[in-house]
Amino acid sequence: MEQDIAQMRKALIRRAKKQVQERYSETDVDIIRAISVLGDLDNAFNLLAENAIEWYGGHFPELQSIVRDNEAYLKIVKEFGEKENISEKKLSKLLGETGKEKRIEEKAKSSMGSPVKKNALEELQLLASNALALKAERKKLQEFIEKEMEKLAPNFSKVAGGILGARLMANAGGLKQLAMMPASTMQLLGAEKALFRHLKNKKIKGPKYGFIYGHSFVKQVPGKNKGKAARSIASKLVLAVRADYFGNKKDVSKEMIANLEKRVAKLK
Amino acid sequence: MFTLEEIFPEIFEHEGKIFTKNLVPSVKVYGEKLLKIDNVEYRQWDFFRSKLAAAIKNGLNEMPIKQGSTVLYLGAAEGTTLSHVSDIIGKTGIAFGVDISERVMRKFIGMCEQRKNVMPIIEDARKPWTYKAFLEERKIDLLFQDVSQPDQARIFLKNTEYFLKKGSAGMLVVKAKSISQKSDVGSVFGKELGALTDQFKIKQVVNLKPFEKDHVLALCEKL
Repeated sequence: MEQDIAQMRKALIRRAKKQVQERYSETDVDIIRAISVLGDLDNAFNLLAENAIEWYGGHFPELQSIVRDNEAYLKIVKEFGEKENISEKKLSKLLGETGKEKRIEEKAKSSMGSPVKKNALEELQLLASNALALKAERKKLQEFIEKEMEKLAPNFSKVAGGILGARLMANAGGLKQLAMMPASTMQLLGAEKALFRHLKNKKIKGPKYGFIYGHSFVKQVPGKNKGKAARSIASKLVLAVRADYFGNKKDVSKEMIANLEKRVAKLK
Repeated sequence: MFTLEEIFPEIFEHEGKIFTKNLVPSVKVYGEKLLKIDNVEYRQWDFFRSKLAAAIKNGLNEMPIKQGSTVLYLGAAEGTTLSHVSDIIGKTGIAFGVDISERVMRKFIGMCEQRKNVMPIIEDARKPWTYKAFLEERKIDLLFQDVSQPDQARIFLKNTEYFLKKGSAGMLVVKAKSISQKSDVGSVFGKELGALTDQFKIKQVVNLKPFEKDHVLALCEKL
């Protein structure tokens, strides 16, 4: 009897381990982890950039209002260091022609900023290059997600866009869960907080979109029609993901995108 | 002098905290405190981490398991509660932990390798037939269920049908917020527990405040 139990226990543990292994060899797991990292990288980059900009602002306060893009700003810090080194020519080499080079150089010369200590500048430049490294990793990760999504769910990722598709899938918990999902749920993925607030108190209006708000078609239509666009996109998205999960690899995305484009044109 | 009072078989109390004897000495399962008295090691049972512990703290008046009991535990998760159940039932008892999620089971399997009376089963508790064979017609002394699903009572009844005999005990944790976000908490409890009354005599309903919000644990006996 006791031996039976020991044997069964061994068999059950073996079985469970195998199940865990199988689950983690499914292809959607990587994408779900990657999309979570992508969000964290964005947050980390913004935090570091904010700090660096604030710091460098003491030395060259005028720069922030000219260069709005954090990445470009950090590149300037990393490349030139002291504002006295900034030159129009090198700027256009670094960032490409932006039409702002001349203004930056002029402002650098007449700046009200105080001089920066050498060792402080070293720290600041290190900070900038670390933040830029994060940005580079983010770009690589984004490509990875887009590529993997295209492989895993070609129709869905074409209609949704790679990153948005991955975000929806991560929120649903996996490709299977996504394929079982009604369109109305898909439309509101990412808006759970607003949805439950509305369900508890009907005086508060319900949300019309969650992550789908970031879809390029939703962006194209004016505010009052965004809900309608989100609904149309969601209904096509569930069809696309079902075609990927249950279907025979047929490309149905072109027709869907064409239909959506027509719909969006009407909503503009 | 440090004294432990045995409030239920193999469950001890000291200054408002509860403990079980550690089946695998010097090993912690989830970062709990260990306590050594007269060469016996005890593990503190965290009220905030385990709903069964919270129920004991809030005045559960009967504990259906003792040394040698067989337990079927649905919603094992990382095995926090089950590790204490494993302490209580000791080497002669068996506990089956069922959970659907591979993610949480990763940790649980590690525990099973150390505790010889705990068995991992990765299946959906809605489908008792998928793990019926592993239980080999054993008499289950306690069916414990703590799952965050909208059909909690139905899952419980389905498993009852497969595994419980007359006189066996059941413990059902009802999480109101998993069932409905909008309806009144009290009416959700009433409805879920009402569904059990055909099959069970409900002996006690313990609210798990303040350790868990909107949770009750119902202790019942199969009719």
